[in-house]
Amino acid sequence: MAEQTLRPGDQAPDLEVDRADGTPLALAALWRERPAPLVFLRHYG
Amino acid sequence: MRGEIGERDDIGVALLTMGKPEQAAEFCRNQRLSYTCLSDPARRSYRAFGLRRGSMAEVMGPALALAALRAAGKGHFMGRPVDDVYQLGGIFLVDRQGRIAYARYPRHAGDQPPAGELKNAVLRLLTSAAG
Repeated sequence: MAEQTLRPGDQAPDLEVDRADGTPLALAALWRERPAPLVFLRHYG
Repeated sequence: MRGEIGERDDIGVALLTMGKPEQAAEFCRNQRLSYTCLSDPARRSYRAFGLRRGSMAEVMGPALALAALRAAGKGHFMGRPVDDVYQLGGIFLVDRQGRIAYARYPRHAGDQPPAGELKNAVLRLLTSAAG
């Protein structure tokens, strides 16, 4: 099934991912205090 | 990314990766990145943001080779994909209310946003929030 793309004005999905130290983080915590650019990488480097 | 928006205190840049936490940590340490480095090996966040898996042509085709050559000409080198080589990346800007202010879906694995596009989106958002 094709993923649904997001557009400006849409609510950003909030789900849990891991920090680099292995502890969980809710994505919403990233933008609660200040705007958050999210960069999804497909490779390191 | 650093060249695009630098390191600002008024935004919180986060890098999401498909690697394990220790791989994300090593990458950010090696690159001396002060951004928030995150790990999502299950790629749930990639799917939630609508980032699709590309076709073979989109992740290994001539367009990617050309983009890699262009990047190399600027002194940047593409790394080896981690985990799912077909998964495409993407860039988003989310405001403090959790709304998408900017979304960039690449057409293929080497497709980068035009220079200044994200920076301009950040500046527009900060200006509107201050106004």
